[in-house]
Amino acid sequence: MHARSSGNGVIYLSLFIAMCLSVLPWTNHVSALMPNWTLLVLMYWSLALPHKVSIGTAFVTGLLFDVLTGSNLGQNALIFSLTTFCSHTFYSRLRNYHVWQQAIFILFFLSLMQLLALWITQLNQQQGLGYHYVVQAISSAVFWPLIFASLRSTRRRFKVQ
Amino acid sequence: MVAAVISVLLLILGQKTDYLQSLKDALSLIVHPVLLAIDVPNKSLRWIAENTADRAELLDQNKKLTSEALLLKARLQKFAAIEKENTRLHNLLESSYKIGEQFISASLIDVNLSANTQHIIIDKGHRFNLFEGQSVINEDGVIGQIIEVHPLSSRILLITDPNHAIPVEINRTGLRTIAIGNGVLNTVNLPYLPHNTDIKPGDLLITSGLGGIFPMGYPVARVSKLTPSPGEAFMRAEAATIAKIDKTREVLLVWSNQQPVPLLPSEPTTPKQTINDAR
Repeated sequence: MHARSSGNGVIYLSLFIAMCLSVLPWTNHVSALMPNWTLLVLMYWSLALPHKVSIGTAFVTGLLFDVLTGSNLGQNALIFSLTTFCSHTFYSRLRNYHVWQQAIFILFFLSLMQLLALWITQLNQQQGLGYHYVVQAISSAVFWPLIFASLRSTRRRFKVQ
Repeated sequence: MVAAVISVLLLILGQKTDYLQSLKDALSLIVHPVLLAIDVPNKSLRWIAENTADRAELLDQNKKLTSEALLLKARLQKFAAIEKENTRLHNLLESSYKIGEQFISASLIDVNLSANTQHIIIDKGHRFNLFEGQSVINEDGVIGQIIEVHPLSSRILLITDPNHAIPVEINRTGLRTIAIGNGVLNTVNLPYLPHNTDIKPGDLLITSGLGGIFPMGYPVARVSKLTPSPGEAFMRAEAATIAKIDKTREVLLVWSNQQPVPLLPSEPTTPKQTINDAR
């Protein structure tokens, strides 16, 4: 087993693409159904390669995502680092689950994170507690198998390890 | 854990102070490629459309634009005279007022930021001296105001965002009120109208200039729906914005003149009205 320099490039590229997907213009109805692409991709990499994607990576990605989406600086940094911390703690267990079991874990975990996001947003903006907070967690769980499969095949093709 | 502590600290700092502006600027430069990448399909589509347009189409467009320019110029002819007269009348009343704005145009970067906020991003920032709180219009009416300026891009809060309120007046009667966004595309609410207000569907709302952010007299919305709600303090009124944000590609950023027009009629009062198109 030897570290490859190309590995990091693939990880960063996938995160970049996920960020692009997150801000793609959709109509209001479709965008409410979009999963949290960046967080899912980050979660996959931190489960598959915990030694490569550290909490620091998650933190920086979160900061960049904050600036990109204009949310409070630190909001997504906190959420992303917490997520990575959790997947680092449980990765050996989560890897043994079936994809759909992982998806259920993601559903509950992301609902919790959405609550945190709502909480932080309330600091300076008033927003109603709409259904889209739950919808994003659900759609993230639904999209997880897709992301899991595509990123795993990417990881195997480019031999990121 | 360190990351969690740092992000909480950042949140608090960002809430209470503006020390983080330079950090945000630096980070925004890093994520700028994302915005550019998102804009590529749109840009290339437009490029293809422009480059494959045939002669007849271009001639047609040219004819249309020429006639439109002619019409606009004809309308402008009287404006100088009316402006003078207005200054003179204000002089009689001994009240000062501000007139004349400068514009710069910018194009939209087509991004969707989040389902529950109505923000858009434009392709100009610090480098063109944009500032926070600057009002943004398009050729039809008011769109919103700038809330964040980065070196290469800025973020605009639309007037239809639930967190935005704009002071307006009803053009027909001069009644002043406040229009608040309701999160629905191209509509605003007028929540502070008493039941006996003289208002009807079709009334034009223009900016009243009272908030100090939006210059006076730009069209904002047209009253679309009035629902009397007996038992409540105010009636429910909805208005459709005049500027349709989903059909806009170019916006104008406004600099209002800070100095009121001088009252002395002897002085030549011709406010600068340059259209500063720096594209």
